[in-house]
Amino acid sequence: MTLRRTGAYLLVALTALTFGYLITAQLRAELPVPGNRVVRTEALVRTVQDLESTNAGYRSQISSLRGQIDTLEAQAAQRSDTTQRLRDEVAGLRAHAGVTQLRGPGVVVDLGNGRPGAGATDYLVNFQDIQDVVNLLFQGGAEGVAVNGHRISPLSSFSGPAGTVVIDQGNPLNAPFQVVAVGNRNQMEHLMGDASKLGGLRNRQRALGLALSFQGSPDLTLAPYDSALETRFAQPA
Amino acid sequence: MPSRPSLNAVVVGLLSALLAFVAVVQVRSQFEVERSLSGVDPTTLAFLIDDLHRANDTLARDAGALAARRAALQGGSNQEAAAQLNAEAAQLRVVEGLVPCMDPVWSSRWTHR
Repeated sequence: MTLRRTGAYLLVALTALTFGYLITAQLRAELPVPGNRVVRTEALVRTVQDLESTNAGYRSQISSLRGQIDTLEAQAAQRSDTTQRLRDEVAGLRAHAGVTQLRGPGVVVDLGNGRPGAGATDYLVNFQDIQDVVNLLFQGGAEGVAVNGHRISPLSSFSGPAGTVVIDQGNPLNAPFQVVAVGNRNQMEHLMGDASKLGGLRNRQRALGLALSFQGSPDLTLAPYDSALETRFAQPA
Repeated sequence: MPSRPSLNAVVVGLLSALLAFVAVVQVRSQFEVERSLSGVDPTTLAFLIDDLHRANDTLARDAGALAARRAALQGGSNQEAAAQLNAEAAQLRVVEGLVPCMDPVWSSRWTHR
């Protein structure tokens, strides 16, 4: 009796499995076959990911080479006063260009996307928003700024489609964004808290839920600039 | 004495585990596809690829220049180090806008701040 019941259960289970398989196979056959567009998009995504990986590798290599050059220059400076004087002068220039690590008090600004609206992309943080925040922080006495860890230099440029920010030769950055500034903390906090500043961002914060907040800190560290600082056309006159 | 699980319970358990495994695999693969493609259209991707190609070319050029500079410094010459520091100082003064500069091709000239 028990054997027969077990056999019946097994039969039901096997039937259910077979039906499940058949239904799944049927549903898959009914679904639209991925078009060329999807396949193309996937190939493009893979290309972007490969290029991003190469990009990160180059920037890491540049940071490492700058460190090695600095060490070799330090050794040369120990043997010559002239080289030592030059090295001191270049150290100051490098600091102003953002090529060296920077530490001090400052402000951390966080930005995030809002709620999707009716088709428009206003709910996304764009490169102009980041640029506005960076400009305001420099106006408030920032001596160094980094966006998602990417240090800003005098040659820095911002670009990118809505929701994506590309800075210099770096990888495309996406929300959430964190802008870290080292410098005059009080003045930067005052400007960031001024409701008359960053009007566009604040309007979209109210209407579309964009995230915008800031916090002062007594001790922040900015990584050195890790991209190319080349001038291909300009030369000293 | 604890009762032994019946064959039915074992079968049901195995089937449940199999179903759960298949469902998780299906949901995960679907999620991965959606995440990688979310909000990205081919035109935007094409522009990003173009930008990344140009950026990587610039970075490769800079990395090459820095490697050559390191190789020259490894010779241990003080004159080489001084020459490199002088060249870098001149370039950084241009970058920071501390000196007048010009484009040698067009001879356009800007004054320093």
